[in-house]
Amino acid sequence: MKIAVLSGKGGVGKSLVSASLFKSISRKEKTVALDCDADNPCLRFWLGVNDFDKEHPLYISEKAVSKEMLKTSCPFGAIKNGKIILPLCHGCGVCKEQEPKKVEMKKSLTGWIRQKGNLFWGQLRPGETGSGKIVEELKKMGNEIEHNIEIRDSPAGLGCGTKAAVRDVDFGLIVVEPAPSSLVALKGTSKLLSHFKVPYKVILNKVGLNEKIENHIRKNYRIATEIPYKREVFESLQKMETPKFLKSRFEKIWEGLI
Amino acid sequence: MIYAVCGGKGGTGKSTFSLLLAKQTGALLVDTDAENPNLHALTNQELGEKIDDIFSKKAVVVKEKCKKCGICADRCRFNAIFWSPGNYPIIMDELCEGCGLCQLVCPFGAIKMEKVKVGELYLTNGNPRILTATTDGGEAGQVIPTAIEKAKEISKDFILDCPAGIHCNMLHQMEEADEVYVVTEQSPLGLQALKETLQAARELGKIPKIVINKATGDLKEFEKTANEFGAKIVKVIPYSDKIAKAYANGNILEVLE
Repeated sequence: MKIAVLSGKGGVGKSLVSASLFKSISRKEKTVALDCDADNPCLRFWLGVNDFDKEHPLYISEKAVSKEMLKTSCPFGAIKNGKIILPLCHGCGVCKEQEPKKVEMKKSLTGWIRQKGNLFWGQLRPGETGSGKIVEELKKMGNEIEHNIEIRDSPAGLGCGTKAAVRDVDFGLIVVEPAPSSLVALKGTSKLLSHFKVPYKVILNKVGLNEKIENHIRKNYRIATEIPYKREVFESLQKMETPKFLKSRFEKIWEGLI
Repeated sequence: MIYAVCGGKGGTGKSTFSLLLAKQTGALLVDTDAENPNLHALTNQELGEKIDDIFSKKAVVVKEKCKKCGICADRCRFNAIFWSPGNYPIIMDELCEGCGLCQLVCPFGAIKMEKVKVGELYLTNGNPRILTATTDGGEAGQVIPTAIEKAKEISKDFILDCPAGIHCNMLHQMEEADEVYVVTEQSPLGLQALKETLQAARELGKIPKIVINKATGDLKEFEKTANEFGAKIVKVIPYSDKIAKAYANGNILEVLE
């Protein structure tokens, strides 16, 4: 079974939920966790993981490199004053086509896949594109380990990384906080899951901050569980551990899913 | 003066800080998180008046001139063109980034670049004024450059509230800015994200000002990292239940000011 944990907005508790769920389910089933947020993989922080067993570099993209002044106008604005600004290069090859003797296309280090036990995560290099492709690589690596349950901690937002993470899962858990921005994001996120025909429930996090929004969400969505707002949660994150008071709650979610 | 407010991790307070900065400077706020724009919601405003459409270029095959040679499909670096011998190439819109390479390499002039609508720009009338870019999904490619150009038409001072992350959409905004702020939180994730964002900034020759949100105590590690990059911590916002509640209720500025 594949479960995706997602949210339209960052910082609402996806990784907290993924980590807590992973810990609960791992006690009973062979479980693999994929942190699909290659921009900012933070699942490992909630699991107290500080290093990795294995690292695979990924060379998915190419960039234009030149030692000379170029006249080409870059469609992505990566050439300024005749020089290529490497972090902005999308590797389209237009400058190479226009000035073939001056430009070389070089394979670029897109990022890495790292692994510790049954936890896999992608790490994008600053400025690179390819989040979706990194997620596909993560799925392949996860499949190399025998497991019954796969938990995917999606990136925030509805970009290509999220789409790659959720399009082929059996169930989705949308994490939301009771704030105006999060509510705006919830609509788009539920629409995305419906598009991929993925059934889902909502996890209402930080309950206690805005009763009006909380009631609206309860009225309009199926709720898997509610997590109260507590400073203790942030303090647990600082210590790199999941909050103890959530343990039984997540065991119940798992029982509800199977 | 162009400001960019960014940060590797989501939910650290970029939008909140952007609002504060707007209040202090009177600058126009630009919400470039086009898939999920939220600045207007944070200030209990609606999106406002639509002022423009956002267009991107997409490649289109001109069948009358096409000789079905397949060179375009072979050369496209984004794998956006599907071709099999004897058939016209099929350009997949979702993957086409509008770079125009296929038009350049086609020996028969059989590809043209067409304007396609990919999003919209809205402007509020409130305080602060917010320019919002929206998109229906797909590559955000042209959305950000268009939003920046429109902002320049409206005001010489504006703040780019960047989406979280270190991908190239954010970098484009960081590159445009005269002054860059990186907002992060006091946690191990926040520290890691700070290092990555400062590294990205360094590659663009920028030294950002650092804002630490949800501060709970000793900031030694953050100060050390800032020093390594020659950057300074300019603002520290303490962790506060009151601020969390105000944020959830759309009146964050009253509490912070």
